[in-house]
Amino acid sequence: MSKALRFIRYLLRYKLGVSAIAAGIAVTVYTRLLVPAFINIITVDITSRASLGTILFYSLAIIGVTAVSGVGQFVYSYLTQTTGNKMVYDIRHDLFTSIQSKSFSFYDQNQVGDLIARATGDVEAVRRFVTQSMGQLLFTIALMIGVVIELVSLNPLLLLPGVGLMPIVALTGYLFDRQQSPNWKQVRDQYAVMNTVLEENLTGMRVVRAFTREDYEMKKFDEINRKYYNTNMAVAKTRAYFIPLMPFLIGLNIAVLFYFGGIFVMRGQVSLGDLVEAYSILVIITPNARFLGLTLSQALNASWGLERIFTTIDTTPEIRDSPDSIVMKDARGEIAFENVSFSYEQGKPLLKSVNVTIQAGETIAIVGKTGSGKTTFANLIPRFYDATSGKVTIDGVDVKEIKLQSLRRLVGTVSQETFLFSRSVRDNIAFGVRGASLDDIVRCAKVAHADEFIRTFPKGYDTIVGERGSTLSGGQKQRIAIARALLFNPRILIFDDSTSSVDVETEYEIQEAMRTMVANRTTLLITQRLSTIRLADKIAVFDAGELVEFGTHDDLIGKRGVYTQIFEAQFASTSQTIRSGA
Amino acid sequence: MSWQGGFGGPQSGTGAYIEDQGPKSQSDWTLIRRLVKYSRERKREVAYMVASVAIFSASGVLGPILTAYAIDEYIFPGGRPGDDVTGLSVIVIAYMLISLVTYATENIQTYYMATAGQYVVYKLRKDAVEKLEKLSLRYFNNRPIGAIISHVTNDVEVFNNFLTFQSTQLISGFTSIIGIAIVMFFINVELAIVALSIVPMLALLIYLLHGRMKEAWMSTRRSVGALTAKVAESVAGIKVTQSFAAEEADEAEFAESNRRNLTTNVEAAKWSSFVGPMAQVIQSFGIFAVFYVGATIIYSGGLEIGILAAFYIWLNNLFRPVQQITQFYPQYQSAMVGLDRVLQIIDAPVDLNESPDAIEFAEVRGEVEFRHVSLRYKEGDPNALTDVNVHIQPREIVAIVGQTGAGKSTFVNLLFRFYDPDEGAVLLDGHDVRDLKFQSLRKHMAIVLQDPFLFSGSVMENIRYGNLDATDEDVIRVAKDVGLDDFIMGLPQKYDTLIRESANNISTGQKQLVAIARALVANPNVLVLDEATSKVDPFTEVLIQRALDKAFSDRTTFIIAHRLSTIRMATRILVLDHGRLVEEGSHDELLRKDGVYAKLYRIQFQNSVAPRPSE
Repeated sequence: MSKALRFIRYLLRYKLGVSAIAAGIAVTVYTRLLVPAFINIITVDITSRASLGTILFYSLAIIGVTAVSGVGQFVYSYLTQTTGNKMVYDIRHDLFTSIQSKSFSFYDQNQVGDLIARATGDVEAVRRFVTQSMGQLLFTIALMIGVVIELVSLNPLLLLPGVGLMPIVALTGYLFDRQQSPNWKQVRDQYAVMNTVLEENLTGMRVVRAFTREDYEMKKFDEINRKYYNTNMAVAKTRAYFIPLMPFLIGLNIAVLFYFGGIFVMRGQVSLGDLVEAYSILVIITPNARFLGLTLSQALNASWGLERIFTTIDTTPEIRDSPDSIVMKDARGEIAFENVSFSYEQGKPLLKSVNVTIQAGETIAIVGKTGSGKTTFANLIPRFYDATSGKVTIDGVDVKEIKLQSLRRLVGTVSQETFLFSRSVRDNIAFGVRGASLDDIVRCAKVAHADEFIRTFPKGYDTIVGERGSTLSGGQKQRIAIARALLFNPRILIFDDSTSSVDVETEYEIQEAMRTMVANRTTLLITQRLSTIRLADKIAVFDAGELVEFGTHDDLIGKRGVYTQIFEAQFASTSQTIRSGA
Repeated sequence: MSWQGGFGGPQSGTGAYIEDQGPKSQSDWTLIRRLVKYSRERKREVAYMVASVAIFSASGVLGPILTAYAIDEYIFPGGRPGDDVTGLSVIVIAYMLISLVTYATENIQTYYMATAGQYVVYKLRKDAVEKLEKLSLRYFNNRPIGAIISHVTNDVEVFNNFLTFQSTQLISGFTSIIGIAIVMFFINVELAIVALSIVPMLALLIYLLHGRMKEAWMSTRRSVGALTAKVAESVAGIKVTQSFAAEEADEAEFAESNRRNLTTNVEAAKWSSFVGPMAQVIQSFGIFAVFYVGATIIYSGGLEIGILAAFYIWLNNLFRPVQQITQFYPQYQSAMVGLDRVLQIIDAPVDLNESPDAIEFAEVRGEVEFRHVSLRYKEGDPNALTDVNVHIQPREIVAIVGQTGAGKSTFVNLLFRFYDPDEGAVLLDGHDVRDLKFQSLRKHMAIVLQDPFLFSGSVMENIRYGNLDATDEDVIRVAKDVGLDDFIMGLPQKYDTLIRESANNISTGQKQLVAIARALVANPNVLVLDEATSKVDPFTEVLIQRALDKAFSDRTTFIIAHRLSTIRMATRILVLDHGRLVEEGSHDELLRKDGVYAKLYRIQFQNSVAPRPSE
């Protein structure tokens, strides 16, 4: 379906509003064209020296019809803005829910700055058109039609000199549209790039500063800023030729009207009143014609904004509920991987036929070198990604058969990168359980050893995280994230290196406190620190995407394989410290 | 995972607005004056524009005079049809010429307005980003990055839209009013007074509604700000939302915000829709008066019908700008707010200044001294660092340990002069860092941060970021040193693989390795590793350690680490606790002291070698 059609479908959700707008426009056009008609009568009256009373009557009538036209104008102006804003509400809503439902791979491929630009800048471009220009456009079209009808009924002789140049206006409008369209696409795209460049610059600020790359970054921004400037200039140049063209054509029209109309009046074929009326009509429509240029610019801008919005909405999420998926309210928490492989790109598998069964209630430590597939393994359980081949099951049910919402309520993850929302500490911890009691929140914060530092904040649990973004250390953020997951109370809990920035002493205390938390659920601990292994029943060792070893510490040490190697590496570095200390 | 780092950094905030979307900090008048100042570099364009606006307005006034002349002299002279077609032709040709002049001047004014306007927009953005690069990290502490981005892109864009779409119309509209009034009085004083009598009524209307309209539109600005904030944050945190199956709650919050935005807009629409028709009605009083009074004057022989028609046309033209004011008012308000926001960034005082006689360092030995250094991040906060005194000789390897929040990163922040201390001084080679050029200070130092932020670009570019002069060979050598070469060679485009695109193929640990390579390629005299290997497995860590052992030999190194294994090379250990330097010495000395360090050491040592026996 073309985007224009889809746009109209959004509009037609408000049939009542649209019909009221149409009615308002019809009334306004009709009454507004009555004013020149009265001026016609007044002119004729004056030239025939009619009584002042007659003139008074028609002059007053002008006020009367203007009042009616004012009501019409209020109706259509108010309703186009209302309906337009409702449409924007709908479009924004559809875009938001669609972005929200996308798979992780979608977010991997699209930068945050770009997505935000779509959800804000592109929607804004659409909003500007539907609330500011759409009404104008509809009104102008109706007015033009009204003008033609009025002139025909007035005196067909005046039609040609009156609106003879209108087709040229329409043609230039079309040409303008064709010429400008690619530029407007560029405007929207470059705007998004500008957002992304700036976002990256600011988020990586410490790196920029530390390496004194400020000039380099400024140059990078300047490049896109300049490009955006140039595109806007190109647009402006064409617009400068086009926008005055409308009033110019009308000006020529007036000249032509006066030439032929003047001759007709001299010959007595047309009354002076008719000429003045036609003249008045052309003057009345001049501002509308001028706006037409702006309206078209905004329409083009909006249409490319819509294009980007619809493209986003149309991207089907790779991971979604299958039609006959089931709701799994509770689970024992047994996880099985059957011959599971995973790759983002063909020929570059990140997991190679992994087979493993994790019993309900077990605590598994997952170790392995950087890039060996530990996180990828864990990501498949809550279906952040789908296995390329093989099957992941919970309690024997393929995760693809479980409704996403219920699956993800069963599985809680503390990911490597901590993301906290700009809201209070309390709301951040209660993110997964809205409306949790403060007691529960504090209890989980205590286990995560977050309570102790939260209490030192002047506003305690009500401290807005955004306000303290800089003073919350990496370790503190991680501890809030742990509390968040604990409060969520899932059957299956995954910690992905979630204490890497926490100091050793605190980590030790968190682990001790977590013993009770892991007791009655299945827990996966991805870790670089072997100290964490104390908590684990079994250890899964990954190497280059393969699950190479799986078993208890004693089993694996006995094997003298990869685990032993890793274990000794850490042991060696630690014991070296001891030796240097001895 | 492509945005990791992007939103994980300690000062990154979350990409949301939380700030007050309240009133502007400067009056409209100040803003416009500053705008004029900004356009100074486009003086010529502005002059052309002003000149063309003047001619444009004059020609707009002139048109109705010609048509009046045509009617009164040729078409209908003395109340009867005329017959001088040649005379009429001359007027018609003159009218065409005037239309042409109108076209040309409108073209010129639109074009030069865009030239000057787009330049101002470009310059505002450029200045804002340049300022952002200069502001200290303190500035970013309470400002979410999403809000700052929005000020530089979206708010300026709103201003830009007003400038390009509406401002010339407003300007030429106002000059027309003056021109029309003058001509009216010149032609017929009585009728002019009658026609212009409605102007005070209009002024009154605008005055009465101004407050309400402004209020209504400000509340739409606020609601759109809140909505943008919500959207930005939701998008940034979407992975968390999905993993907690919290989409519904998130959507409810969004819908609430979206609905509030709708409501405020509808409320504002009421006012803006009201003003236009009201102005029309007032105008119709003017039309009524002009025709009625005009007719009486004509009957007494003081006026001709063509002039009356001209008055009617002028009255119409007089109303155009008034209509536009009401139509453009919201955009004007938003534009001024947008301008104010970006100027606030541009005006923000730089709290970390390079002193004018700052020294340039050619060579750095790497001697670092903290003299009674104290710092707190915010007024009212506890000190992040209190009275720290330490003197480090060149080529020392210094480990900094302590609990989360003890002040380790603050120590580094001061060394790099991301902040200035509230008390005391930080010295490099005996010079206060405040007396050094930034470039010179940081050129000789390199840091590997906890969060290995990488830029979009190739692996090669990312490593080279540390030293733009590094050759490909330098980059590859360093990558080999940190054990990254094998991994990179396995990527589809090897060193040219784009980081963002391959975000899926690069783990957090590998990103840390790239960050280490980036620091090493700078070949710094002072190297800081802030939890640089926290996400790397022990096996790889040993490899890195070996690479670093070589690197440590000829430079001063600071290592912040939680894993004590990482600091085995240290010649000196600084133990921080609640912002104070509580212990200092070699590993042996500190163990003998049996203090904080010894305790930390015991905990870790016991844990790492004694996993829980399997049951």
